[in-house]
Amino acid sequence: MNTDAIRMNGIKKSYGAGATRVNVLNEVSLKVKKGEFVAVLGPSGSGKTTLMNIIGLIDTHDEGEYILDGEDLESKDENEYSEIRNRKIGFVFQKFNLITKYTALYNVALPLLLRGADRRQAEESAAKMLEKVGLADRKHYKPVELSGGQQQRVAIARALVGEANIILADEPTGALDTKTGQEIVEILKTLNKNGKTIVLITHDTNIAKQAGRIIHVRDGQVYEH
Amino acid sequence: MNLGEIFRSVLLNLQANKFRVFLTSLGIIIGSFTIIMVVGIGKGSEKAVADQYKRLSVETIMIRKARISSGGGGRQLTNEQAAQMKDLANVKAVGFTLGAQAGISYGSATENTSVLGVSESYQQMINLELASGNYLRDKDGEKRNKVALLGDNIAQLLFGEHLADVIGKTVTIKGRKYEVKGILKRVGDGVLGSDNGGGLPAGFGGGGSIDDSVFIPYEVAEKYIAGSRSSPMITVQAENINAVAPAIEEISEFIENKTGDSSSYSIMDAGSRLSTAQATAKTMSALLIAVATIVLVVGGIGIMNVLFVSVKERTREIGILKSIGAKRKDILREFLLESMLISIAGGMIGSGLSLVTLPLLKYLNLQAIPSTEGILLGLIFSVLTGTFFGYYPALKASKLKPIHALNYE
Repeated sequence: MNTDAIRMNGIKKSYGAGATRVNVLNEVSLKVKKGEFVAVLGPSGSGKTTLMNIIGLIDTHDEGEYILDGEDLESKDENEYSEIRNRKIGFVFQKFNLITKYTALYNVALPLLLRGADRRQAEESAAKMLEKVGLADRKHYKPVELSGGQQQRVAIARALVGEANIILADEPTGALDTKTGQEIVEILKTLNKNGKTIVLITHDTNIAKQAGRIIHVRDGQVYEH
Repeated sequence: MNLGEIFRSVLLNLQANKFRVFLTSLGIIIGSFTIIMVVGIGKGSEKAVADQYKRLSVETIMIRKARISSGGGGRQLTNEQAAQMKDLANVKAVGFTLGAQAGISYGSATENTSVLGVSESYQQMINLELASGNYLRDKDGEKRNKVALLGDNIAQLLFGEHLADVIGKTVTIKGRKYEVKGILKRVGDGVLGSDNGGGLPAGFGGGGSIDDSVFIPYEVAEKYIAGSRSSPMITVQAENINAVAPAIEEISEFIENKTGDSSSYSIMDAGSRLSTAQATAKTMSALLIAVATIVLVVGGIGIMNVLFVSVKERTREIGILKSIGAKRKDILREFLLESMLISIAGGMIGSGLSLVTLPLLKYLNLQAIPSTEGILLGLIFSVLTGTFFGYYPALKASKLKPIHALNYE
């Protein structure tokens, strides 16, 4: 019986080689239970974004063991990583990372389309998700026609549409004003109440405090107290 | 991602960059255009060659003084000597021709055309048929009678539509007056509709169609029309098709005996001349196709370049797509499809242009025949180029690591 969404043991990551080699993560071990809301708090350069990228499989670790949702990620290839990202993880980035030439609706539908769903189905689900984040009337807008807060809500809808259980949010409030940022945090809290595992990366203590648990990252290592 | 969606996203991209897409496809447009033109011209010239030799039967053997005589040896064969070839075992008839371009006029109408001096026997060899009047006789030549047979076109150009009472009228050729002795039957508009039918064998004073030619007695042409340096072509007809090879041997021996050097004459039968000419036309085509291929390759490199730029520009987008689950093959297909679409569109535009241009070539006196073969070749080459040169940038795009792509500014 496995109740861990994320389990990491002795994860190491460094960039560069030789004299310029920088150890970003040094023997990081970490457990996040299913349904937890965890804030990863640390100053910039602490390695928290690298940690999140490794959790989200958009970067690879050099050493250590990583088990995501009960699946050992050792010996998986890039395509399998894509598959796992698509089905198990929803990303929310600081810079929203929406594709600007597509409408909000199509952006949200993309994870389903990438799975091979047909467009009508995908857009139907996408419309429902946009409704959930309060953007039902904006679905045909392109990202540039939306405010920052609205764009971030589109990004959240995109993270949810594939029914991923783990939401990784990397400084989701970083590009927003305090009030709008708080709105986004509220949405994340609601999602957590509905059973999603949330990993929120931030350097803002006020936001971190709202999570169920805080993990500190400093100099490539994690601390908890 | 299913192909329909990839297709849609590619179209969206192309639409957003219309001008760049146009510039990119320009290389392909020109390449496929060139290929189709080249195939058309190649086919046209092959047909022209075939037409030129159509009236010569395979029993025909042509003899002419080689332009560059080897070693300067050998005397010139006189026409009297050449005429004796008729007595060779395998030879049925000997004919002479000598031609040049010359002006011909009647009243105020003047035309420049090919004027051919022919012996009596030659008229039968190429099956000249009269519409009215009489053939040229050897007697006309001996007496230096200035008489002429007119091709149908030239007769119409000089006298208009009504040719009934033209016989006996006087035309001026190169300043001398000639009596019209006969009008030839039209050969151009044959029942088969061949548009360049009735061509005269190459190597003549003008080549071209019988309809556009004027025939006068050989000796008259020798005296008044041809320059002093021009040498006649002797045409020999073998008894039958099996006699061609022995006849050539006999002729060679005959010339050797009379002049001391047979190598200063080229002796060739119609069949092998035809195949040589066809081979030349084919070589020409192959050469032009090589040129077209180079154009396409350059076009392909253009596509590759633009695609690399496109991949760079869309690196972030690729990163985003990968982070939400796009696989390598999704990205590869997207960029490959983009390049293929550009090249297919280019190929089609090129084909369209060539179809418009090919018929215009006749104004340049080039015969070109549009063919499905050419168009297919053009399209296939465009698509191949697009696919080949699109593959590498697409592969590079698909191999981008999500982390690097996402952080690309």
